[in-house]
Amino acid sequence: MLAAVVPACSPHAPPAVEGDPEAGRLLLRQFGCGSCHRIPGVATAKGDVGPPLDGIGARAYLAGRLPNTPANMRRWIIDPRSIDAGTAMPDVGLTDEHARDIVAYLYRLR
Amino acid sequence: MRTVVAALVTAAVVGGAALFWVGAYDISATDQHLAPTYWVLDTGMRRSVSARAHRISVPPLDGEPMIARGLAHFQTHCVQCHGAPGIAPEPFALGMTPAPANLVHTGRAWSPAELFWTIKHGIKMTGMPAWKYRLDDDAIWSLVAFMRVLPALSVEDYRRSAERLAKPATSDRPASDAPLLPNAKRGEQAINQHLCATCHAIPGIVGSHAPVGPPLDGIARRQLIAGVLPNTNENMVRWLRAPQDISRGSAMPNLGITEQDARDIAAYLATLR
Repeated sequence: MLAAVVPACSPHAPPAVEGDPEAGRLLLRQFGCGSCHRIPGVATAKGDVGPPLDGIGARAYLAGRLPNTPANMRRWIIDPRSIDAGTAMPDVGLTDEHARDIVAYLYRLR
Repeated sequence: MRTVVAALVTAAVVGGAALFWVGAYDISATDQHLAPTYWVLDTGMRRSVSARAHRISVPPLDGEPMIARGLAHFQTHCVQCHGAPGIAPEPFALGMTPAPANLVHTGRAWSPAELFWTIKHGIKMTGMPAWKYRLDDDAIWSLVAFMRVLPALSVEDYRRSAERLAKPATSDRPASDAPLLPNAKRGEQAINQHLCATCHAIPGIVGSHAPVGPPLDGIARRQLIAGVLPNTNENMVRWLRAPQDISRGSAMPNLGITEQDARDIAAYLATLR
């Protein structure tokens, strides 16, 4: 049963991530992610409300609880409160496609 | 002559660096140290302990209740790795390099101050942990008192004494009845002693910096802790002591951090701006 949940990724072999990272970088700015997070490569992203996102692609957990896979990261950024009911991170109204592109960019930050 | 020496030294440094880099040194615990290496490490360790222990003043160690308390702690915290008369160490301890010492010999050969210092502060690059953050000084002295008696116990004496114990000792964490002002320097030590750097990159702390949780650079500027709690000093202390109470489901464990240690750690984190 446990074997079924082993993520198909490791620090040595970054998972293949679908989506357009360059589009994701623009979306991070459009959705104001930088007012709460520092994000390398997004010049305006200087927020100190949540954690900095440098190295987020290599982080073991999202929101301190969710194993970091591209699919889980999409779930987290689309609907944060479904993962952690008390989190201050809002649902900013991302579509599935937005989320794919943003995750493609964030997974480059290793 | 000078150029020859310089060439030899350079060759030695370059050769050593090359061996280091290609991984020639066998780091495995099954490969024993060369005898000279062992002598250097062991003698250096003894000299270091003795240099640090000589200023410690030793309390009376003869009371029967104190020795019994020491035996209880010995059963709970020491036997697993060191064994006891007639009792082998646990399997995980049998595989350790350096091998955990037989404390019957240590109890005879080491002074009480040296035993106290070593139990309290631990020894780097051996499996010996520092008990300072887990046991108070009274508990550590009771262990020393017991270790002085240990060499005189037969297998049967030890078995009977251990059986007579009402219950195993719990961890007597250092008392917090005389709180000290929060201190970042002590916090740095407490961070190491609670393995924070095995999950977080923390400026000023040497460690694996594995990115399990978020990096803590700039944590003093951060507005929220765990994405849920306003980042005040009091909240940081609460979070450090009981993360699960604040954010159920968090992978951050309760590490049994005392109030004092949490305040010291928070003082250190407050310097990371």
